[in-house]
Amino acid sequence: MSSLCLQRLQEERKKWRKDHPFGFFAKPTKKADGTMNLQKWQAGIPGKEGTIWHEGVYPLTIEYPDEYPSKPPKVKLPAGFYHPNVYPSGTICLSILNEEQDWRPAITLKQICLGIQDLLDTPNPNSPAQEPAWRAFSKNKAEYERKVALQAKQYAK
Amino acid sequence: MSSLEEVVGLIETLYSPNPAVDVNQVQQKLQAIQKSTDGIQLANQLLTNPAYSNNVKYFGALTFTVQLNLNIESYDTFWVLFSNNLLHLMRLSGLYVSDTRTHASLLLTIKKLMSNLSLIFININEAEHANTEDSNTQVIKQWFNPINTFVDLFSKYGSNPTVGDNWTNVSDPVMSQLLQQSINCNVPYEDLVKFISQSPTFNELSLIFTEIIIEDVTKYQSRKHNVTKVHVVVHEHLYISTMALLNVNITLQVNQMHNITKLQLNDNVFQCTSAWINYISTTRNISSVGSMDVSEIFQNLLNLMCQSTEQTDNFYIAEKVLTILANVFANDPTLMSFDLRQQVEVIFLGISRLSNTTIDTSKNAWMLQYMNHLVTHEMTDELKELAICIVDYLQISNLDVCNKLFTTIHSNGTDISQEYIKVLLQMTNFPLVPVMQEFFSVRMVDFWSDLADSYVNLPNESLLPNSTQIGIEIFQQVINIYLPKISLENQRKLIEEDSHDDSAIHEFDDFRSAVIDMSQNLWSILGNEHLTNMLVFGIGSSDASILPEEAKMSAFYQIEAMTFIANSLMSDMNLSESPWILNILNKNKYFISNILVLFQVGIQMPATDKAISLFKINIIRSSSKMIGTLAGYFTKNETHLSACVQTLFQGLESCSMNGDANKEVNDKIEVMIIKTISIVCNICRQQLSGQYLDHFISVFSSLIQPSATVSSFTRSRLARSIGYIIECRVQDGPEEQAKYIVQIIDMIEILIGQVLDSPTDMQSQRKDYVLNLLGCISEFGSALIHDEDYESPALIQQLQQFHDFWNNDPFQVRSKLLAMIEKLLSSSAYNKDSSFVEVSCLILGKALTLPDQDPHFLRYSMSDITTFMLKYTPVVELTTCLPFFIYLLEKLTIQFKAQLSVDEFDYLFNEMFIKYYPGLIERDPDLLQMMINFVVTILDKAPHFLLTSKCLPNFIIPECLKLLPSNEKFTIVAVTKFWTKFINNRKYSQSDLMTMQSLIGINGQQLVYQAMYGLYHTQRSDLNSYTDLIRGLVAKFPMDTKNWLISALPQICDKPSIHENFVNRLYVTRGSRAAANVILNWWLECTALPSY
Repeated sequence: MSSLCLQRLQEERKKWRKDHPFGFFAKPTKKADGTMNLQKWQAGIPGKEGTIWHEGVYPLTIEYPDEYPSKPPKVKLPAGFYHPNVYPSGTICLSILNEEQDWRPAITLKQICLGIQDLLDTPNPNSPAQEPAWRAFSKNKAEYERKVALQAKQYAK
Repeated sequence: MSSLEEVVGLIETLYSPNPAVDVNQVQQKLQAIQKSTDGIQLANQLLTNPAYSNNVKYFGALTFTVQLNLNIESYDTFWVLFSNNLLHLMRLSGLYVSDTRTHASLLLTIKKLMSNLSLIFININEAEHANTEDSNTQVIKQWFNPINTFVDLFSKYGSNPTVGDNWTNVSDPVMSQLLQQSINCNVPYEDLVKFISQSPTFNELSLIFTEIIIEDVTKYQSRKHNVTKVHVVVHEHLYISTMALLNVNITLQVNQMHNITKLQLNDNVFQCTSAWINYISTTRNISSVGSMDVSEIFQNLLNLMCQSTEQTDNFYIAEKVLTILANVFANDPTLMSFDLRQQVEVIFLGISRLSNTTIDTSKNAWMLQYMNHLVTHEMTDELKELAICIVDYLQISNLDVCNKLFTTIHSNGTDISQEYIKVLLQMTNFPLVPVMQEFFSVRMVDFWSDLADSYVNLPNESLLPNSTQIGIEIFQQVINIYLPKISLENQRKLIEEDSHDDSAIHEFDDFRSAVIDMSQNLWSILGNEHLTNMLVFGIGSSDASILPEEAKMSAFYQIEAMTFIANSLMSDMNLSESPWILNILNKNKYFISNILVLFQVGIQMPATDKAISLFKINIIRSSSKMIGTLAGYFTKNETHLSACVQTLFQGLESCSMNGDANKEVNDKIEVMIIKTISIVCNICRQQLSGQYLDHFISVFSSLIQPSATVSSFTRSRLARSIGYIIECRVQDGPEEQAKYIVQIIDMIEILIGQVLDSPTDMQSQRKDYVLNLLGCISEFGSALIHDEDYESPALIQQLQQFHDFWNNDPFQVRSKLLAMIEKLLSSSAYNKDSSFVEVSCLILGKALTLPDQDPHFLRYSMSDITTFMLKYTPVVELTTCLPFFIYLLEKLTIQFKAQLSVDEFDYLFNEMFIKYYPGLIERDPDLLQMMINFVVTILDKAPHFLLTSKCLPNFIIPECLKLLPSNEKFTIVAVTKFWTKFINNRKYSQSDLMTMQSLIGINGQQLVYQAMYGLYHTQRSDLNSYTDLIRGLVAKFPMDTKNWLISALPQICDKPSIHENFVNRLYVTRGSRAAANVILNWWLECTALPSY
């Protein structure tokens, strides 16, 4: 890991611990020897109140490449996560996480987490990433909402 | 230009609180005037006429800003703007000084003029000609010190009334000369002090001016990264004047000059200090002339802070200084020198890590007084700020504290450091309610967490011989402090204080989560022996069910807090393989029973208000999660398993009995409980498969009744849970297991049958219920799939019997179930709802992905499934249901590829796709994509079907050629994927390969034309979809493709040289990125679009 990457990740951790939105969590994972792995984080995104997502806290893994912050982190929900903009592998299709789109080195973990929370209830119609959720979202809202609510229970706190 | 009066009228309208006309139009009109060549003249007039309001004057100053931005390159105009700004600043400042109350609102215009001058200051000093030799002496190449200019000019303005009359005449040569002389005049320290001693307002204006300049330079720096020259000028000139200004203020000399005996200081002093510290911090690593020292300022601030008391200024100044310090410690702590930080340490903690002999404890006495003041007056926000400041300060030296405590690096530091730690522990144990009244414990979580991290990362060779013991003593104390702090009793107090303040409740939740993270870090040091043991013993120390009434709640709060932390540690362990934990749990006979008591207390608690509801939810969450975590333990010791299961079911029952009154609370609790039940059933399936199974079935039977008020999630989770138990009920052979399976399926079938036999309107009303029951079958079926990681010896021994049994299906489970599904889908109330089709397909396809040898009661035959599909495809709403049939067909083709004939495949393809293509699929991009993806999957998994299918040449190839140019991104992606896979497939047999080559031979020319045509007409973001296809063609059919390209390209657009270049480059390019670039260039050149 480059010193720039390390420095930035330490800064991100400090910032997050001091100020993060309520209900979210994010922390570096531990390596096998018990030391902290700053390049791989676990996080949880609560669904927004008043939406069909609100019951759940959705687990994320965030992997920072050596080139971070020049390159964005890889952010994944669990494989098979039901959302129109989440690939079957769990990879999230969000422009701020795409190096060729809106990623900027100044984007913080907090912004990423809030961006994903926002995406949950407002899928981007231009970036479908999985067929079942996308189809239901565009053609069968009742089915979509039923499945999202079920998933929310599965990830209930 | 409009008349002056008209402009003034427009300005007044613009700033009017209730404008009668469209403000946007007014604004546009005024902006046009500001930008015009008359802008400067207008600004002068607006600023000069005493009759005009301060709004008009402000607009005049603003017009200078616009003109400055427009004329930055023109020296003459720039100088006019510079001199005019200075002139107006002096005159208006003079007016303001004459009577600050009357002219208070003029300050806004003065600040705007100062801001204009700061822009001039930056531009002059950053300009190309700065620091260069120039023969034109009139040109001002540098402006060293605006404060000196201000002091000099303002002194002249005040001392010479004759000249003063001319301060409105911007074209007066005398004035011009005066201004020129003042630009880079020298003002010695004595003159500066003398100037500010004349009037507090002179002092105020000087501070405001330097603050505005430095804030603007900081902003400029953040926008442009190559700023250097202005920092040098600031360092050599403005910094010196400003430090002098600030120090005489902070040391209260200015107050003495003006005979102010009371301890007070204008806010401008603190604002200016903050702005300068911020600037120095931002630029100290980029300035070419090194860092600007702020030690004197910090020293004076510390002295000033300690003079502030309740009697002198009600600690007002202390708060202001602490805000500045907090900002430094949070953002750039090393800006403060080590010596000064040591002083701060003594003030904050009354102890120094370096020495305890020479410290001045009176400074800490001041801090204790201040804390006492905040606590006594319940100034929670200020106490929180102080806690943040102190903990940020402590974090600076976290590693140093760690080294001194645990290593041999500092031979004499251990004793002092242990004393130091005691102080920190006392501070952490601040005797008030966290979040509500104090924040020290909240903020200190990070400190202890980091200290533990640092300790774990220390190299072994540097550790003190007794470092382990020291670590255990410290961190056990930390845990003991936090256990009562995170107690839900504190949450209750918070809610009772203000039940509407959700942010405080959220903050408390975050605090608890942070303590969990910290505990996990501490576990690395304390281990099970000193942490998990302590918690387990704490939870199970005595029988909580027989405590006297008055002691019960306090005990439950403690048990909950310990359970909350213990669970976070134990959930990461595999308890069944942790002999240590198994041993501790075995020794603590009250541990599990107390967890169950805690759970029961939560269940029985009436959720009468917000505080109790939250308490109820939290204790059920903690206890139910712990029960789930203990499941691994129950696999080794099932003594308490029965009690746990019973308690969980009682809890579940109570959720459904409480009615709608507390629905939200009950729903949450129901989810927690059923998830725990599911975990216990999954992990303890073997232990539960005996005597408990009948009990489970009986509970399931009552909960799936239409009258039961449990959620559909609970029903399906319970069905899955029972499935886990039945899955391992194999020791008595397949028939024994099948009886249970039949029992469950029958139960559900009967209930569905009852609804189906009811009148149509009733059937519609019960749709969700029926769907839920059908979902239960699917979940039950999923649970009966054997875990790949676990091989049951009993099952392996009888595998053939199980296989034969389910092949024969003597109880006719499959046929009865299929009949029920068919009945369901024959009902118009259900067959138009895609959810029913989806679950039906899931049930029928449940065993399609299983290996052949795995027995399963839902292993439907190929004939069953194809008949089902063919029967219901014409009946259901295909727009929404076709995807589920495609899913089933895909799984079926892969599973039965050995049995399925090509004719059968063709028949199914025709019935499922071709038949619905013209009216439905070709119009729906989603269905089109699904159909093509199906073909791609078959190409991958069973290519032989497709290569020998009549559908390929007659339907798939022609349609996929047509679809290559498409407006739909997803069609393009799917169809290019098909063609790429079709021409480049490693799974082809020799015969498949020949068929493909022959088909490409026939269709290649058209394929290349359609691909290039599609590429030419597509948008840039979709170009990559075609790249792999074109590369594949070039690789597999190099000569043919070249000819096809040469023939096709001129038909697409008439740019022969571009095409020739493209073909040549394509054939010498290796690698996908390079090929993508060649294709992109062709597209850009043909479409004449710019590259970016």
